[in-house]
Amino acid sequence: MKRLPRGLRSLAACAPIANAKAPDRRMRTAVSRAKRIKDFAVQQSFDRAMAKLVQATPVAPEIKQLFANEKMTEGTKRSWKKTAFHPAIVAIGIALAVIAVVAWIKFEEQMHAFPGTDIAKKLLSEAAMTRPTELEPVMTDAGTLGDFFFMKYRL
Amino acid sequence: MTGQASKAQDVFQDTLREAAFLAAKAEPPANRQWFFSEARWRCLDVVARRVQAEHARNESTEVSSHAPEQIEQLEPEQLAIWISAAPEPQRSAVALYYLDEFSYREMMSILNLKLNDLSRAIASGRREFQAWLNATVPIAAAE
Repeated sequence: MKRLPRGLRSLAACAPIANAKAPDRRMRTAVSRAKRIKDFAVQQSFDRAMAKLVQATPVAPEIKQLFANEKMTEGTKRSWKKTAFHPAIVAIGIALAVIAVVAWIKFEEQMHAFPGTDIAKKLLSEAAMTRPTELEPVMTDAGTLGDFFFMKYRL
Repeated sequence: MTGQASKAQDVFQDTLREAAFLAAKAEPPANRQWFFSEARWRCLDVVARRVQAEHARNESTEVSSHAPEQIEQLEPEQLAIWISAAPEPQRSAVALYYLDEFSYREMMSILNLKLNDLSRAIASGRREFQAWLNATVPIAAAE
C-alpha cells in the first residue's frame, strides 16, 4: 500500500467493503490502483470477515423495536415553495430581473436609433442656432452639398 | 458506545426528541447522517461524564492473510467489546466502517473528521485488532 500516493492510500484504507462500484470517482481510481497491490487484497478479505461478524451481531428485541419505524425518521424533502424563497434563489431571481430590464432598455434605445443619428442631431441643432440673416444662397450642385457642409460646419 | 443499554436508549430517545423539536420549528434534520452524528455526540457526552478508562497504547501489527480464519473463531460480542474499548474517534470510525452502510464521505460528515484522520483511524484499528486477534486466537488455533 505504501507504493500508492498518499491521497489514494488514504482512500484505499476506507474503501467500500462490499464489491459494489464506489459512487465516487476518486475512490474508484484509488481502488483500481490499490487492486494491483497484494496488501489491498489482504485488507479486503479482513474487512469482509469483520463486516460478516458485525452483521452476525444479535440485536436485542427492545432495540429492534426502537428501529421498527425507522422510515419515519428520514429527513423530509424541501418543498418547492421553501426552495423558491431561499435567499440565494431570490437573489439570483432579482439579478436576472435587473439584467432583463437593462437589456430591454438597451434594445428599446436601439429600436429608436439609426446609423446617422449623431449627424442628424448636430444638423438640427446647427439649423436651430442659425439666424435668418446668416443664411446665404448657395449655388452648387446637390451632389457637392456634402462637401460644402463638411467644409463649413464640419458635418 | 455508552457501555449501558439503558443509557443508549436515553440517548436514542433524546436524539429523536431533538429531531421532533426541530421538525416542529419547521427545520427538520436534512438527512439520516444528522441522527447518527447527534446520537454520537450525545453518547460521547454521556461517556465523558463517567469514570474514564485509561487507554493504554495498543500493540499493532500488519493485517495477516490468516485474519479471516481467525475472525471466524470469534463471537460477535468479543468484537463489540473490543470496539467499545477503543479510544475515540477510532471507536466510532471502526464501528461505522464495519457497519458497511456509509460511504467514506458520510463517515467524514458524521464523525467530523478529515479523510486522512478517518483513514488513519480505520487503518490503525485494523492493525490493533490484528494484534489483539493474534493474542486471542493464535493462527495455529485458527487453522
